[in-house]
Amino acid sequence: MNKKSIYVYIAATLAMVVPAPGRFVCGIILVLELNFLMLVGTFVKSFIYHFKLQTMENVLLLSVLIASTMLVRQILVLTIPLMALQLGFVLYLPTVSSFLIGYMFGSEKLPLCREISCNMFYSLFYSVFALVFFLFRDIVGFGTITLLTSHGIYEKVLFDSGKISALVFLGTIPGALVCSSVILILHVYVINKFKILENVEQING
Amino acid sequence: MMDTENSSKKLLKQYGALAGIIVGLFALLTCVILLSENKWQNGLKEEISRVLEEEAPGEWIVGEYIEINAPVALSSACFQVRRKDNGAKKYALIVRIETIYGPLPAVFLYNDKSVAQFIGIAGLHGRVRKVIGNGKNDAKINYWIKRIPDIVRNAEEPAFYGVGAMK
Repeated sequence: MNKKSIYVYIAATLAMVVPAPGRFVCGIILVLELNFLMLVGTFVKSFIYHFKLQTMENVLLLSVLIASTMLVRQILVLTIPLMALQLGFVLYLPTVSSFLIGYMFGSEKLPLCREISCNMFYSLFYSVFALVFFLFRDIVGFGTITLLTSHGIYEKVLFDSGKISALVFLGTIPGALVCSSVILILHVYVINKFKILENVEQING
Repeated sequence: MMDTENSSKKLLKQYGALAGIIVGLFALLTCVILLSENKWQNGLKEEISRVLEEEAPGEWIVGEYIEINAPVALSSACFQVRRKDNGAKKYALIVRIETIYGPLPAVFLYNDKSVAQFIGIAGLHGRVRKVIGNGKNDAKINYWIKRIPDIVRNAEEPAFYGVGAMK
């Protein structure tokens, strides 16, 4: 894990995973939004280069991304108004996070197909992590599982013994911060161990 | 001369594209916002009805939507409610509150004669709901209980309000 990917992980986690309620349904919505924004941003960037509008790249790209976020919010109002009310400002956090902006402005111009596959790979990879994280917090912290259905939100209470469990902490924002830090530490630890093994193999080879 | 013309054409094309995109986005957003206005009100009305039905079954009828003339309108909605037995009227509000569990949609009841009352959280059951309980020990809920009279004061009463106006 290099320094850049650590910063990307921290930025994306602080922007998307930590401030949002630890419900799986919130995770699904935020992940869909992130991937939609990544796709729209990549198309707009390609459009900008195609029509040689590079001088206005920043203004255009940011305007379209913010407008797309507002569109996502309005689609939520149309379909699940409760989620639009609950998530509120959280919907705007992926838009202004360095995860999205970093991939939009940071990379060199590639052919459209290659750029889409490259950007969507990072986005989908992070989405899987985020969904597992939200699912874990929903089951362990809240003791429920929430899903999106055609009728709105489905909630199934899994653990409702009446005893107040210490695991509720994992449903809180400090709990999310602790979880994300533990995952980061474990990830860095495992990667470092693999690097040591590689070095030993190189020396022996 | 040709260079100036070409450069002007290029600039015109660029600013035309920029203006076109911005106008297009603005038109699209305006359409979606107009379409979603009723959905927002009806959806939140259903959620308030559900919470009231869970916490006080068969006691309340949720009535008309009341416009809130304050920035808090983006994160809240206000409705008139009436008791089924004696017809007493109150305001029911659903407000996004920032808690230690992240933002949650809380439902409150209020009338001019008493303090606001925390009813429940929309779409939340299980152990976290039990921890929150009646909200008396929660600083954020107590903060909103104190703010709700100001929000209702900013709310616009409909011209006609009576039992017949209830939907």
